[in-house]
Amino acid sequence: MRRILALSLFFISLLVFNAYADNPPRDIKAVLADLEKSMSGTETIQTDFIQEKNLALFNQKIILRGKVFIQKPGFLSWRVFSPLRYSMVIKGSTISQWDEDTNQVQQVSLAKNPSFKVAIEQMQNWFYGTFKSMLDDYKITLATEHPITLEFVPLENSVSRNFIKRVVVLFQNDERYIKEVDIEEKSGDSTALVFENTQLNQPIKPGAWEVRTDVR
Amino acid sequence: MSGDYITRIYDLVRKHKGLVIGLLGVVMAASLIGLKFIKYNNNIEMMLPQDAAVQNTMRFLREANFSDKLVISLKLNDQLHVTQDLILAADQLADSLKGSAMVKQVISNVSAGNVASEMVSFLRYGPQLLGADSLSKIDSQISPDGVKERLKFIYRQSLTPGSSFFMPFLRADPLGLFSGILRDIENLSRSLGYDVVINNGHLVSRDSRHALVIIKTSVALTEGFGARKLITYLKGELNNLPDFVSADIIAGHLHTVSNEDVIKRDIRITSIIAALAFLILFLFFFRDPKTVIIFLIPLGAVVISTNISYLVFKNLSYFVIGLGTVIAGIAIDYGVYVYMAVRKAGGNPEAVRQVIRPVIFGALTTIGIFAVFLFSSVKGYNQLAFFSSLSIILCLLFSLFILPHFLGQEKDPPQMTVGLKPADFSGSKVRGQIWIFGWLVIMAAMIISSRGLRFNNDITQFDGVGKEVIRAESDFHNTWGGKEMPAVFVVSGRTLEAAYQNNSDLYEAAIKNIGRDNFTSLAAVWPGYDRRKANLLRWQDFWSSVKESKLRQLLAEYGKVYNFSPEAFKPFFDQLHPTEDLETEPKGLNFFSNIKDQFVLPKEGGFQILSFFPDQDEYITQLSALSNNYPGSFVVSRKNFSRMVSRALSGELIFLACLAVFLTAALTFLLLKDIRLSVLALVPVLTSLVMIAGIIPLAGLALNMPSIIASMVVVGIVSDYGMFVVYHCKNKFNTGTYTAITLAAVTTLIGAGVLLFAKHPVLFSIGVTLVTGVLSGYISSLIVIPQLYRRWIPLRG
Repeated sequence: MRRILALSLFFISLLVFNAYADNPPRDIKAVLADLEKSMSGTETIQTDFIQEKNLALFNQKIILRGKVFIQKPGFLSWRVFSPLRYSMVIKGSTISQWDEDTNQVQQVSLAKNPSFKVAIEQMQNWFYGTFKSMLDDYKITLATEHPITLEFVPLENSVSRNFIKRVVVLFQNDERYIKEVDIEEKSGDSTALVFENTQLNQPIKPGAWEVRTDVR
Repeated sequence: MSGDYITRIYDLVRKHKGLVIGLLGVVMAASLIGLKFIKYNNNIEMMLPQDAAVQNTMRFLREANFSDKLVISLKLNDQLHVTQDLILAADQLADSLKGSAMVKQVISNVSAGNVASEMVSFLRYGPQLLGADSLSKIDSQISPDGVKERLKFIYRQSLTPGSSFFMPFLRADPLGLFSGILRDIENLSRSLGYDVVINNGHLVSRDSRHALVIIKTSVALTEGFGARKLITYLKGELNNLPDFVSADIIAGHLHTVSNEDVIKRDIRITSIIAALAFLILFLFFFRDPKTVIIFLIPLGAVVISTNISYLVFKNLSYFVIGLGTVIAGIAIDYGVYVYMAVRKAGGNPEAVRQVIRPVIFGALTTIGIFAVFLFSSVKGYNQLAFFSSLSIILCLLFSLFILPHFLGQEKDPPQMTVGLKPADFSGSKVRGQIWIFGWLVIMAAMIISSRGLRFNNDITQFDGVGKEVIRAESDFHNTWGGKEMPAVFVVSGRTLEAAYQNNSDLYEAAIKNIGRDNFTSLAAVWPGYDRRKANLLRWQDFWSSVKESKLRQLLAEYGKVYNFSPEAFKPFFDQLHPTEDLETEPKGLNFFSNIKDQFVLPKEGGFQILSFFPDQDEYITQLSALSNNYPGSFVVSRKNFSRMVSRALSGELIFLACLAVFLTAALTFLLLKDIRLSVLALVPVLTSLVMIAGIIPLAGLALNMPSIIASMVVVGIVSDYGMFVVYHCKNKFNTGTYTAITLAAVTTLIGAGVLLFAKHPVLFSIGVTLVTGVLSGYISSLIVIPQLYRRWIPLRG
């Protein structure tokens, strides 16, 4: 019996070894290139999101619900419906912001707001799949392969390192768009973003690019 | 020519002709060899006056930490490669440069890693930095409405996508008390106007297609040989860059090398053209092989003078040597006068006696003009004076004492048909009147034209840098900005603390004068000790326990709506009552050290702190006035510098010009011993000056310092023509005066005219002035003087 068990273990270990031998870990650059390729066909994205913010500033988690519209190249609309209506529209290098509290539109240049710039560029990279350009600022590793999960750790000299400890991005099974983003901040704060009802390459209502309009 | 000292010298040379020639040959050979060892200098400082303000600025520019820096701008050439490839190439280049002894430091990346946390940390100095105005604003904010408004703002910010970046600041500064400090830090880092993005710690352009590598070198900007070696080395290293990356070097060293190349090329080209023109003139017009000696005289004189000048001054300005052909063109005149006189007399050397007075006086007026520059405070002008005077003296001596021995007696001297036909004394009165009328009309026209004469005092016009450097700098500014460089206000202090204090005091005064937005100073972020101490005391006084409790209470009460945690603003309250002592400057903050590197210059025996403001006349005037109140402080501005130089030089030049004109007039009078004759002899001087003033604006040029100096030289040259013509009209010697003057003018015009082929703006400007002045002076001396002589001095005529 012991011999059978030993032989069985031997064959199992061989199988496992073979399995690894047949599927060596994929090179991260190849993974990123594949993702970029599969996401490159996407021209527009519209998706609902739930953002869970765990900030030291508040007693409890804040849960934001909203919608994101993205159109290549350079259009992004980030709209929060609750707990406070807020919208941010980016057209090229200009950001327009509005919130129901002040009911005022504020326009700023992306170039003059490095913090916004970094955040927006990251968001665009995640949705566009242009991860190779993020290699300048992050060490990217493949956390899981099926479904693909990427881990981004800011490089020593990057601006993001000032605030971000780690970002984990989970992709849909078809690898055409992202499903979840988890951000761990240096301060201990964290944010989890989950995207739902994602539609790819569907026409986006023109109102989505107007910061005051209530588009859902 | 007997019984006087000139005869004795003349006879001595004749007796020892072989020895003299041998000695001269040895001196010439030694001088030619010596040329190889002469060090030239194109340092602009040699051409600047010793004025205290000018020297202050030059010392500052020489010692400032940017004078030892070179920048290499790398560019991606194709679309296939990305920024990361460019950064890799920049790193490889930086590594390869680190091995050179000429390179002290290579900066290709900067750390942006802890800037934000350092900024938050810097807020602990807030109590030292906020003044009384800020405290009264804070007071108004500690109210239910004020706190509600801020909490609402913080809540809204926490919902935005970029909230991660703001959160540490919002927690450390809920009332936004220190936002002004952060804005000032941002302004400081932008003060030099360059548009740089940090990408993976590298200095990258906004379009991500360019990267910067900054090099600190031990090679001084003005060190011609070292600069060339450094640039050659860098170009060699840049050749190793991958094909998809190209690079431009941006550095003052490149200007040094390029200017040197341009001047060397100019000297080479002008010397060749002048030599050929002189040879053609002498061989084809004189048709006498002996005239080669006349050509060799100024050449020998210039070569010997160059060596002696070098021994005296230890190094020679390229600008001065660049004028060698002009000097040769002037100095050759004396040989021509002697040659003409001797030939007219059938080769009898005794004929020299008839021209000896005007030749010596002519030489003296020209030497006098150059010699006045010995009184100048500009070292380059002193060199010019010495070099030119020596060349002319040597030429005069060779022409009077050596040349005649080579012009043997001839039965049938060759005929020459050079020059204008002399104005006919016995010609019709009407024709003479037409000539004078024509001259007056031209003079009037030139006087009218001279109303458009403008003075250009920008010293950068003398930068003859090549097109390739200009193209590279233009591309650099298009990519990185920084084209409009600000003016700099420099304050000093024996200790760093004293320098900070002076800077702080100046800042307060400056912003009252030109506004806070126009004056970028380190004092906005880090004032002097006194001010920080006063601020801290005021802050401690302000934050009584009652006020602190009130704020805590308001934050807690109105924060409930948003569910803020009790610890939400702990970082703020932790730094409300700072306990540490006042420091000279913040420690352990890299961002502050980086800013400090830009603004604080350690000097021997102290420190200088720089502040920047727009280089505009109104600001320069106001701040220059302020600098009088702060010992050791001064303003450095391109515009102001040009003005300072021209102010310092104009007073000096007026004095020198007056001295030159007085000397010319006095020597003319000494020769002619008659006021009216002297006035007539000065007609070419007047004509030349009016023509120069009229032609320069017509040619679309502006008057500048070199052209003023060239005008003074013209005075010396054309006064000779006037003297000779009047001397001839008075004495009627048959010494071939008109032909001699024509040849003298032609040789001078060749020497000056070749400068019109010069690329360097200084030499070109001198060329235009000399050609205009000499040509008009020559024509007027031959046409106008005889006509005026006949009318004004008929009995003598």
